[in-house]
Amino acid sequence: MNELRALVVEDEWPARSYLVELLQKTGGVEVIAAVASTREAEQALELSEHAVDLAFVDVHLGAGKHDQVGLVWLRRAAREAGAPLFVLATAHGEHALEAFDLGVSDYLLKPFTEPRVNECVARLLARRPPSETPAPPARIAARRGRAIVFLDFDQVWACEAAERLTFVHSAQGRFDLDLTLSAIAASFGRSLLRVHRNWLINPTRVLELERDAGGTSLFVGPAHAADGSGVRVPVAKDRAAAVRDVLLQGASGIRQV
Amino acid sequence: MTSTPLEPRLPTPSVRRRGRLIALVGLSLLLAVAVVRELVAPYTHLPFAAQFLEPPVVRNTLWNPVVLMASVVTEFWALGAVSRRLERRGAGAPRVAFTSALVGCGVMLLFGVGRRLLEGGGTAAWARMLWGSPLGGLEIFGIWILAFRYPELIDDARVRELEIARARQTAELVHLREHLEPHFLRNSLNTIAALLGEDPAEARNLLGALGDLLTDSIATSGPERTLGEEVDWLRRYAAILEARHRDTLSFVWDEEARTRTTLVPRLLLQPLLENAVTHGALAREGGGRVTVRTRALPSGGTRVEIEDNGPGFDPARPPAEGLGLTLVRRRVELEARGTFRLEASPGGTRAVVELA
Repeated sequence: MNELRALVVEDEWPARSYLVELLQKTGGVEVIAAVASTREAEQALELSEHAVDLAFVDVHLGAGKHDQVGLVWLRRAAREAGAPLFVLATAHGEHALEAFDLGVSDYLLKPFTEPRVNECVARLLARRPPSETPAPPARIAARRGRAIVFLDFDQVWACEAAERLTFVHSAQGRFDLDLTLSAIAASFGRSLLRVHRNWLINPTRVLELERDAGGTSLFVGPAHAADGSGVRVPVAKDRAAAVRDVLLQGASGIRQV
Repeated sequence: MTSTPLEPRLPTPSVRRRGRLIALVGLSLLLAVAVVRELVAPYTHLPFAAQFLEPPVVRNTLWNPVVLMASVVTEFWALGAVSRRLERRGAGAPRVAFTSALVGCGVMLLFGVGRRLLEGGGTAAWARMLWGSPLGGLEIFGIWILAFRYPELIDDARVRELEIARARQTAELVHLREHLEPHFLRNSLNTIAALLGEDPAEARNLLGALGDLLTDSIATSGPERTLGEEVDWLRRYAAILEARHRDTLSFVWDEEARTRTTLVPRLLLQPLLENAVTHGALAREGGGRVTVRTRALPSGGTRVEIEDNGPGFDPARPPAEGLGLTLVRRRVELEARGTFRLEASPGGTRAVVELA
């Protein structure tokens, strides 16, 4: 079944990742980008090659708590042709009522929960069935300075969480991600493999599996790593065996124990 | 600054003390004048304030009481006018009292001189008048202070106390509304729910911080606490905001240990921190930083600075103060005998509170 293509606009980092995670879990939504501001949201809507069906927008978005940047942007964006269905994500119960006057299709009250998100997505699916066109290959939206970069999945080597930030390592370089590893893992299901608390890797890009006194590690990078690009990724002790199994499943040459 | 009916210059306890002092001074003056009169002017067997009006020749007319009434009324009026004027200009109580006393003596002296000129009289009569008139003026000044100024000062003190209580109540209401309304709670809970999967340790820390904030807002407590406790409260509050905006907001804490025992009105600083976050640190594209700094001043006071690296403002056109800042200013002046100002720092805004 095809999925609804969604954009998440939320300035609070944990809330953003959490919503992406919950949306992916419903199975009915594919999040094409999760951004922190309305400026980035417009950029993402422009850059996206395929129509965006849904946009989940936080009302406040940073600035003063009485400035409802999200609402203002939404009011304008909702009127544009081919606009997605807007869903308000808010901690204010009272916004729910105003919301429908603005052309908002639904709202989600914080704190988000699985049942709340599931019900909301079910209502949205009833309103706008996903188009019949096949889903485009999943991509990762990353950030380079003020610009958004879309990376094709097979260019991605690994995602790393470090010092409260998340990075994606790819053939194009290292970029910032606006999501937690859990949210990214939820977006890509089994295509990405969790090898460490702080690492997700793309198994098709693993070049080496090494075991020494310090533990197990992987080398992930481009097919021809002659130039030394690529990253070394630690594998958690308790995951080492499982990671080895997964990697060996699709390979021959070593006897599996 | 908003138009407060009473712009307080003095904190409450000292207003009261001064009121009592003034009454005491008034009473002592009355006593002293009576004694001096007995010692230096043995002829003063006449009733109150009459000896300086005593006519050398004519004693049996309506003239005496009329002059007495006229002089007393004139002096009361002059005292009222002078003291009001001085107070409007911001003069302190001692100066007001001293000048009023001089004015009181002067008014009576004028009446005495006028009378001598009208009625004539020998050197002795002039000498008596020169002694008696100013002393009579002082007597009336003493009565005036007791009858009019003392009750007024006590009233002032009471009104000021009410003002302070009201400002504090409003602050608490605002605090309750803004931070424990479902909005703050829902956002914080959402953050904790989000972090449970990714960073359980951080989620636990936030639960602790949120729990402390809730407990603190429910527990009844005194109007003041130490700056150390206040800053600890701010740290918990900041921890929640930092987690919510973990990639775009950070805090720097620069506390001088000596300042931790200074007493401050409860939750005085919270609106300043919130302002620095929402209008400063978060109003830029990432890298928002808020610095909280406490310093002991050479004068024995304490300075607290809350600085952000946000867009700042044009010093020529300071932004309008919202309810939050107005409240902070009023509380600093009313409750803490301090000053508050908002400065445009290089690359941001700095809120400065100085406590005596």
